[in-house]
Amino acid sequence: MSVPLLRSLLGSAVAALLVYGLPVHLAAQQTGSIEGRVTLDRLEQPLGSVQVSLPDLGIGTLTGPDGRFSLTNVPVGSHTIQAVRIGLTTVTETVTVVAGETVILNLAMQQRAVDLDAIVVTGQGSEIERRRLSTNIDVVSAEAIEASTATRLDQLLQTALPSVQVRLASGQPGATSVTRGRGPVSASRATTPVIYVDGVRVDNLNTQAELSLNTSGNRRQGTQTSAIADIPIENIERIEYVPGGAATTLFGSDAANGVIQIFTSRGTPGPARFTIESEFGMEEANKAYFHFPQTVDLLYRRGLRQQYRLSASGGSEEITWSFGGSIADREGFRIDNNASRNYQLRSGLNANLSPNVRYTGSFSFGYNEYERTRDGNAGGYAPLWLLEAGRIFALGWNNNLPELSPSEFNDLRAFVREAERLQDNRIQVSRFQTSQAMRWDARPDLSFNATLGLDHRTSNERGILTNEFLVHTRVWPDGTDDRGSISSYDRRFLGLTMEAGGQHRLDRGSLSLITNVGGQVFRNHDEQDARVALNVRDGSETVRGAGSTTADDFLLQVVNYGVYVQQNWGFFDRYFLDVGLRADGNTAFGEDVGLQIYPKVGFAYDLGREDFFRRTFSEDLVSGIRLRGNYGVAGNFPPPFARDRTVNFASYLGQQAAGFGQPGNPDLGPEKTTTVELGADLELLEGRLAFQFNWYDARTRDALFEVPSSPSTGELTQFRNVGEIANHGVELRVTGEVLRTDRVSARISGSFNTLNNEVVDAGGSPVFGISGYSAGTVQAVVEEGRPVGAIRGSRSTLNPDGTIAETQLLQYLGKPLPDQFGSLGLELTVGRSLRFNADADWQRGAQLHSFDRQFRYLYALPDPDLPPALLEQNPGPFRTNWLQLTNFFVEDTDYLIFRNLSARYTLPRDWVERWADGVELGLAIQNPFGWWTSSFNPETDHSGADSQGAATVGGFNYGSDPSPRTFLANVRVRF
Amino acid sequence: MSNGNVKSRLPYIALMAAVITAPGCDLLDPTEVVNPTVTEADFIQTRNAAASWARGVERQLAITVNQVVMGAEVASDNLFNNRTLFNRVFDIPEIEPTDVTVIDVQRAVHRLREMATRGLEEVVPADPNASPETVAQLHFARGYSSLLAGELFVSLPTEAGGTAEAPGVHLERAVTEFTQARSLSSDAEFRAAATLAIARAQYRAGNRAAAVAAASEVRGAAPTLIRWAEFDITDGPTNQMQFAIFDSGQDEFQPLPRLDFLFPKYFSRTAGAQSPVAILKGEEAFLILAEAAISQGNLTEARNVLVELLGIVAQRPTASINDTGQVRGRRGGTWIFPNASNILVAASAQDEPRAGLVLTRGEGPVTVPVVSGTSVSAEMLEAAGAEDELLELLYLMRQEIFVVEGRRMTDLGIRLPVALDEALTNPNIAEGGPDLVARIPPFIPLDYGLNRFTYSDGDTLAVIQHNMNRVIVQNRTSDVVAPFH
Repeated sequence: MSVPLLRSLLGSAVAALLVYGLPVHLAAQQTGSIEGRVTLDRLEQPLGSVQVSLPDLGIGTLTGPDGRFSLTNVPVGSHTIQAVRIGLTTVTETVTVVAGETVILNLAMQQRAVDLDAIVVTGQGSEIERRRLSTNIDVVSAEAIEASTATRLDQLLQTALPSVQVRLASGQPGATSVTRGRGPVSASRATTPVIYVDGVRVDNLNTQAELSLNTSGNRRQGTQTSAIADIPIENIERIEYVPGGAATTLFGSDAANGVIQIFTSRGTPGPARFTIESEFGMEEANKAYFHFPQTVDLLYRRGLRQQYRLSASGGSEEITWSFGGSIADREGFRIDNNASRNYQLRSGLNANLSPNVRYTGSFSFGYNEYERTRDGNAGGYAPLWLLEAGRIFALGWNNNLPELSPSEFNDLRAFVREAERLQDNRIQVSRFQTSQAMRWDARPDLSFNATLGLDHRTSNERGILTNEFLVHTRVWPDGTDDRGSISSYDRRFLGLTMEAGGQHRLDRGSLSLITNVGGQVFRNHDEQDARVALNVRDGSETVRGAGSTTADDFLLQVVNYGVYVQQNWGFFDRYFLDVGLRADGNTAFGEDVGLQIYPKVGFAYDLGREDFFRRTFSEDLVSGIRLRGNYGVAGNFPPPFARDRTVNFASYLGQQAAGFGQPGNPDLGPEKTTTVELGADLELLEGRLAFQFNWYDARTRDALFEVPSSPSTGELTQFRNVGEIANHGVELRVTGEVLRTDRVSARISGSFNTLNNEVVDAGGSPVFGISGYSAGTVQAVVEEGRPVGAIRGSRSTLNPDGTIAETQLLQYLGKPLPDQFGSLGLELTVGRSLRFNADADWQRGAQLHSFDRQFRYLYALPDPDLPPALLEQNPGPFRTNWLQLTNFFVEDTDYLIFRNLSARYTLPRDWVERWADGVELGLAIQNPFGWWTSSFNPETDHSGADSQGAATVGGFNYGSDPSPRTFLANVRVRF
Repeated sequence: MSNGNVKSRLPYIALMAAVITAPGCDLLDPTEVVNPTVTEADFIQTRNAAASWARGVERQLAITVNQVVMGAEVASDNLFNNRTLFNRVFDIPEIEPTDVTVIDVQRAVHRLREMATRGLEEVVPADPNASPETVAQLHFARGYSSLLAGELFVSLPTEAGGTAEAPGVHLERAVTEFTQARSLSSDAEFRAAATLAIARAQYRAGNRAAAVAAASEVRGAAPTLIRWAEFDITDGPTNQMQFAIFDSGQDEFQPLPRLDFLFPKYFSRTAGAQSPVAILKGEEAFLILAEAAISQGNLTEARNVLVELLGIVAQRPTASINDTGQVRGRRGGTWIFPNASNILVAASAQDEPRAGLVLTRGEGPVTVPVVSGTSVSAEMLEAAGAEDELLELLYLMRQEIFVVEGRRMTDLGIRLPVALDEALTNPNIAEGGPDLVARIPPFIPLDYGLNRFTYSDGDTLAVIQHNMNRVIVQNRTSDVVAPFH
């Protein structure tokens, strides 16, 4: 199929489904007479969105957020009633309906370790039962989201996904994070999964934008702002995550890093129900992360935070609605420049236009403000560099802070406070998202759906450097009045998604076949402007009237369009075969690259349903066992316009000057990751205990490397499909109830994941840096035979007298990727009202470089971890051989860090039932404590990317704020 | 209209919507994207493309000069990198093919050549408005690239992906290009610059007669000639050396104490104009002629030429600069440098201390040369009776006149290797071959020996460890320095 034909068909198909897919008839609804409430386990916690039905009669409803349901006009007699919800054990009871009466029925559901009957969507084209799939899908439930104290999506996922590491790169608000699942499949492109909200692809830029604020020297060497941080997390019903490979094949050229899909709530039938929540808290710096405790006294404080939430939902059988909104304000834990404010709201609507046509829509808006402080390699006044790295001596203070006299310390405190006060770096983000979807159940076995949506994110990053700041921080001498500057960067992102498809279900005795066919188009439009004004008078917040002003702009557009077909064959409801194919075109592909084909095939075998197995193992003991395996290909499309041979223009002495642009590559295509996966799911003791095992081998071929051209060509770099990257590992998870008495029950969860990553083939390209500093200092590089982001620098060996015996330049010193990692969780329920949660994550086998420490060596500070003879040989005041010794400053960063400790108490119903449906009180501590092997913070590192959308691997700890320790108290009232 | 009516009419509404909007289906084709950057194929078709390209080549010349100056000055005895920004190992000097500065300098030199070639071979032929002056400018730029290749590197490819050729090949090419540029231009000043460039290439190639012929022409026709690489503070490139010696305010690069009086050679002449860097100036013709005369034993002629050169230098402008931000390492630098005019400087332990080489900067503006300056006087030239003495003074004048212009490294005989990146991507260059080994002559002191001096804060005497001008003279018969000897 040609590309233009595919485009045309897609356009027409989407249009047809959007326009013609409207209902053809509407019918009346019936009512019932069973009422009740569904709660979680024995707790008072109500369960919303539980499907309560009478399967024999084909009628059902969903519980509201208060857990209540109502079925009317139910025929008289004895019926089986069933309560079903993802992640919970299905409850079945018998109910007898008497004419003219209402039966009151309360149901308690339990969490299920692995729910194979759950309906999932991500990567399948349409809804499908999890048991039929050959791949694994992680689901984060509404309860887990509600129980979390996280304020942003990546923080929420930090402990919710057992085989994914999410690392926040800095304690500054809105900063980027690194998501590592099954290792980096790319060495040049971002490792962040793509994110969908209600089927609409949203901006997931997790690196610096092309034009963005620089508070860190080279921008890759400090905090960058993430578009993930401002995705509203209000009103979410569940989140699905798939790690790549066959599970993401149907996403084609866009999904090798995996997919996160957020499903928002659309409400449930019933009267309007409200939940309001107030949360108060305090943030502080954890002194254990700092070399000098004095740094904490000088730069940090206990900052207050508050957050208010309101959510509501309700509706009739035909129309349901939902709303969630929040306001949050944080002072920040730095003495200044760390505050943030967020406003979020989201609404959802579900309307049955007829018995077989359903409209769903969701809208969200968020507004966020963040402050920024200078960090990383900013130079000049970069407070953590000055204090933690010893540079403060250059401004006249003893850099060994514990030796400062009280008066010297007070002087330094006054200096720092004023410098902090005079900084002015701000970020504002507004974001609007909507998803509009229509589903038409044409026949019981045939349905169609169409989704149209957009994500519009606008941001402004602005930094003001005043003369007063520059003079105070001694960058310029007293009297300077012409060095003030303003840098202001606007970015407008518009992402459009259109998707349409159909699903057909065929049941013929022992054979069941589900066929999904569809097409998807998404378009990203990313427009950026920069204004930089020099010689700005202090007090001015606008570039108007500056001594000189320069402007710059940047535009990036990409369209990806594809069609897919998938068939899931089931035999005897226990043998499943999954085959699928996606064909993709993309405007970023070179002109000699045609449609790209992504195939997948997999099997699932529900061994637990075999008679011979059941004859040996009872369902009480082995509730379920399933084996699965798959093969699948997913891709990452290249950077837009990287294919073109271009001419660059610059203004030079007031005139236009043309020069080499990029060399161009007509063969530029996607990098393709082929994954083979084998797995097993085991449920024991009626689903109370579950194990899951996955083995995967993922190989990225045609990996995109931004290859430096041969210097003699005079060209710079060009993206080429030359590399090969391998990732393999195992994932082992266990979840289950380990204790259950009349009053106490305990559930644990844990995961153990291994990761082996290697650049198998660099395609002849020289070693190139993707993060860090210069080749002569220390860099994260792409080098054949090493993991992506290998740390590279000088390695020296010492003689016994402390002199350097040998120095080798550009040596492999470690890697930021762990060999093993995982998470741990404990949930303890006491009585009917009290629940404790603890979540932690851990890693082994990763290393980080500490530039703070290396600078302390340069500036002649003591270092107990270095050989005493080395220090004696180099008394200072400058140890000029510092860059020869980089290997001494790369350390193992094994850790176990608790992310969350929380307790939640539900007030007895009879205390509150006159005025509320439920009241919960909560206490929580984020990042309470941990253990680690490095002499510095083992996880907060500048995960800076070289350019927009480039790979983020981390590896460097240098002048970065750690995540704060946060104490929270909240009250939640439902009525 | 009741709800029931809506429902019953829905099929018709859908049908009507479909009929009305079906022709607009094309509007839903979202696959069109527009690259905001001009493709090369489009550019060549635009009007006056050659003029725009030639300006781009001029800009690249400034970028190349930036890279050369920043690398070559640190690798010489002229400057010491007193902080952590910029290259930290060229001071040792430690020059590896993996060093980013080596890669950057090589890439910049080649980029200048390749851009000029693209202009001559593709842009100019497609542009009916391309003038002979534009073509001359492109030949000049290609010649300057070859000149730098011949002066700075052990060897380099003469074309993309080519074999590494010895400096002589590049210098020969430079002469060819400059000669062609000269023949195409009707601008007398440009022609004189091309002639001086020929003299410089012939000098480095050791072709005394040809160098003297060209230098004599310049001496007669344009003794005060200057050709600049100009910088653009607004849109770049900005003068990096100016940043390192003046703008940063952080004492990045510090001069050898005997050169202190020449700094800051670069500063912002107005709020919007940085200092340019001279790439050719008339002084060079005199220095070539004098060195040729010394090599032929004609010290009197050499002395006369150098005295005439002092007159040219004296004509060059000076500026009064507020350099109070410069504290010579006293704001956290690695070393402390002399910073007051009462401090005497000895060029080595064997040399007499001299006054007037260090300026006091904290008490008001200082007067510094902006093109050329020298501490050598006519009396010193007269007193230099022996060939060695006169040659040492000549090299001191070369050092002072060309300071922060990227020339000293070559005078010291140091040459950069071919970058490893080239070997990895160019099948004609072997990864472990001799092209990838820098040339650091055995008489160059290591372990920061080029920059070392004895001085403590408060002293009134600074003694430089090695007088490198004397070292050059002592080794003048070596193949790597003093091309006429």
